[in-house]
Amino acid sequence: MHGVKAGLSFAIAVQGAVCALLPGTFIPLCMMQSMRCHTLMRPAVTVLCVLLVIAGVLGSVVHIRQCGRHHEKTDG
Amino acid sequence: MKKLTDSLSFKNIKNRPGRSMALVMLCALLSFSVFCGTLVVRSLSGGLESMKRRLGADIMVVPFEATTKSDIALENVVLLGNMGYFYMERSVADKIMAREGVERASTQCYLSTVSSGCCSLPVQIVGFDPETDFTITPWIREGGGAKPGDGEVIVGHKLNAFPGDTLTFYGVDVKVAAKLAETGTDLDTAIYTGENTIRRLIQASVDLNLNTQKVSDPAKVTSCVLLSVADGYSVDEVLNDINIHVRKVKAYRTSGMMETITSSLASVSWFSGVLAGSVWLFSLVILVIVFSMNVNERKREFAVLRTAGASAKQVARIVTGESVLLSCAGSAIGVLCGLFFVVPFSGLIGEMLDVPFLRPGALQIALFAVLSLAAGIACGALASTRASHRISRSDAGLALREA
Repeated sequence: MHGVKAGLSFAIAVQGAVCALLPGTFIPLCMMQSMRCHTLMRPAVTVLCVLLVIAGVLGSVVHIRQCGRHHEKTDG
Repeated sequence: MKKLTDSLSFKNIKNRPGRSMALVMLCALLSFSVFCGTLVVRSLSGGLESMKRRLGADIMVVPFEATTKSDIALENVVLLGNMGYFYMERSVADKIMAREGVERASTQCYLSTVSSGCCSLPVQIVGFDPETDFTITPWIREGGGAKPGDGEVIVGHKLNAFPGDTLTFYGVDVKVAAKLAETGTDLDTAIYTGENTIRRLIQASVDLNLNTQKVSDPAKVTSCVLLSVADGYSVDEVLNDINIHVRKVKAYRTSGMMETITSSLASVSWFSGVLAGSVWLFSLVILVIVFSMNVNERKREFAVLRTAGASAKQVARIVTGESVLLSCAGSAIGVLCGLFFVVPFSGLIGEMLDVPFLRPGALQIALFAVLSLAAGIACGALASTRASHRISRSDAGLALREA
């Protein structure tokens, strides 16, 4: 179960990283950097995606450790 | 070496999550205000310095008619690159440039594009003479670019166009030759081009009935003359000479025009500094009070430690250790919040303040982050100094006897 949760957390982290590249890299933005897409939308999406990546990575680490501990208990 | 998590300070913090969280949040607020306040003030002064560097000219001469229009703020058009255009006869500009006391002179011609409805904004186009110019050319050289050729433009930093791209204004295609370094003003959203290209664009705007000025021949008009005064003459002397002897124009000291902008910048900067300073001061005062109250209500706990054999120094170290751990965690959270929620939105902050705003580079931001972290930790440690000193000096027996 922990393995599945670790995998899902990792997938969320990867998805967050890909989403952070959406504005500006995969989807071109407006010509002028003083417009809303540059000043507001892009930084907001980037910040939220970075938080998602951090949460996903932390979740993966926690679940992998718990998975390891569970295996130790069952083997011991 | 003893692990941090085994220390009494860490265990005390862990056993009182509510109290610890409140102290961490206070320290976070302190370091957040220091970091963001420093960033905003530095960005404002960066914008001002950048604007002063771009100045170059002592006097600016514009058509008198332009000074009577309330919808055009002249200093903002010339110094900050705001939207606006006005024209005078080229022959008048030639008369100005021939006046005594003028060392260098160059003309600039302005034009604004129109917005095409949704999701578009007009841009300011500035035509200059590459042979005589002394305000824009140094800036181009700074960015490593070359002067624009015929049909070529140089774009400001905030335009999403790069060398080799083709832009179209009033149906005329122009090629991007270079991109300028950032200034933190609306000059970053302007376009610079040579005299032949701007004349073609003005003609195209007239042909499309989109030009608000009456222009019969674009080759015979210009928008402003920028002058540099020769040695041995004062700026006021040359300025008064032009205002008295040349008709239908008005000459201004560029330094005088800057004062309007610098005074509004100074007040925004002052207000930001005072706000950040006030938050910092109040947070520090509250930290001192809270640490004192915290230590006061735990007098019996520390008295038990003393009777168990802990020295006064060890007790003081426990209290200081708690405050250092809490302020480390709080300062880290405060600085991270600043990095996540203020730095990425600095463009929006600059737009909302509507003053020159040039964010410092990544290295300077990292330095501010480290200094804010250090300031937060130092303040947290200092806040508990009085309390730890008092508790280490208190009588253990007296504290235990208190009901």
